[in-house]
Order: sequence, then C-alpha cells, then structure tokens
Amino acid sequence: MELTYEDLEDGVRRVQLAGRMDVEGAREIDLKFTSLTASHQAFVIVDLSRVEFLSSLGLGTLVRSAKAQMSRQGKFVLLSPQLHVAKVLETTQVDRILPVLYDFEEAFLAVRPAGTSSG
Amino acid sequence: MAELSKPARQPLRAERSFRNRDEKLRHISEWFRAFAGRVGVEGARVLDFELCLNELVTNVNHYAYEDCREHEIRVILEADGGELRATVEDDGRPFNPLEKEVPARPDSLEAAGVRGWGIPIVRALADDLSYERRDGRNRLTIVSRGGRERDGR
Repeated sequence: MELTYEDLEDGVRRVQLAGRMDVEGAREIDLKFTSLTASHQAFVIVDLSRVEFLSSLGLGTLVRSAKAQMSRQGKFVLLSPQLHVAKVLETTQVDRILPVLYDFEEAFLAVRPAGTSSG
Repeated sequence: MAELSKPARQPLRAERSFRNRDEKLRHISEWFRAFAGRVGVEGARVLDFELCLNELVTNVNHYAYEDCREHEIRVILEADGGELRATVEDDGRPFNPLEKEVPARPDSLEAAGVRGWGIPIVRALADDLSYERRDGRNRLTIVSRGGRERDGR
C-alpha cells in the first residue's frame, strides 16, 4: 500500500492512500500514517480515492487517527472514497461520526483551522 | 490444490487449506476472485463477498488460537445457481459469532472503538451467516444470493 502526503496552506495536510487497505496494507502504512495524522495536532484530509479495498482493520486505522485528532483538537476528514469503500463506511456507520466528503475544496474548508482565512 | 468439479454454470466446488497467517489473506482473495470469475459472479457482489471472507479468516487468525503454532484453515467455495457460499473451517477454540452481541453503532467518534468491526460487516453484507461446531472444528458459512444485487448506492 502506498502513502504520500503534502502539507498545504493554513496548516492543512493531505494524506493520499492507494491500494488495498486490508490487514497487510494497514500494517504497511500504520507507522507513517499514525505519525502523520495522530501523533500531534493536525488538520488532515485523508484522500481515499485510490483505495480499492477497506477491511475492518483498515477502518480501525482510520478511526484511531480520527479519535486522536479529536482529542488533540485537530480535524480529520475522509475524501472521495470509491464506491465499495464508501459502502464499508456506510455499513459500519462510520460515515455518521466521521466526515466523508467528495469535493476537495469542501474538505479543505472543513479541516482548515479556525482563524485562518486563505482561499 | 483448488479443484473445480464441473464446468461453469453447474454447481461448483473448490476447496483449499491455508496457514493461519495474515499474509495468506491476499492469496485467499485472489483464489476467490478467480472462482467468482469462473462461476460468472462479478461486480459489487464479488467485492462484498471477498470482504466477508477476508473478515472471517482474519478473525480466525487473530482470535481462534491460544498458541502461536501453525494451523490449517480450510476454505470451501461453492456456487449453485445464483447462490455463492463460503465455509471457513478451523480447529481453534469454539467461537460462534452469532452468539456475540452486536455492538451498538457508535453515535460519536469519542464512543467509537477501533476494533470489532469485522463480524458486523459480515452480518451486514452477507445474505446468511451460519455456524456449527463439528468434530472439534468451527465451521462458519456465509451465503450470497444473486437475487439481491447490492451495488452500494
């Protein structure tokens, strides 16, 4: 599984995942993903548009980082999951507790820290 | 090792054994997808079933055994008409997921756990889930019926 990221203006970080987020895939990215999205306060967009498969362990990886950001007063949204990945989020109702957005600008505005005004 | 007993469109059966190691999960997925292709099942239904199978075997790998030794997990795939069936058989401790209380869906991120999503996913996506303990082995069977195509929309 691949993980790339870019730091954008206003302190927003976009993390892009690609591949199968199953047990093996989740383990491959776990350390880096946690470091980028959970170890300190961050304003994170996790781009799922290239994730083909999401299992319960992969879902746990996402939820764990989202919970960490909540406790750190950061922000965490999911962007553009493919149909089947969206279905997993819907089936587990994670989409009710974690924002799932399909438009990058909307996602950017959703996570941008309060007090910033660019864009 | 996989054996397909009859030509496509007839009742088909394939069976393989896998070690109880997570690195085997992708092999199981590939094997299942090839089987699904042989029996003419495709699209969202294949993804749903592949995920359910993945979750069942993951559950066995992670929770069925009290030792760290290698065990064999037997997976049986069957197709009959529009029905797709997978049975996962292991020699681990007795575990009937149907007796396990379905956890309440979290109403907040704060209340959400980070584990335990697997069986709820299977229960939601499979048309049927059954369990039996036979000859000291757990047998979990999931069924997908063709009449209700799920496309996630």
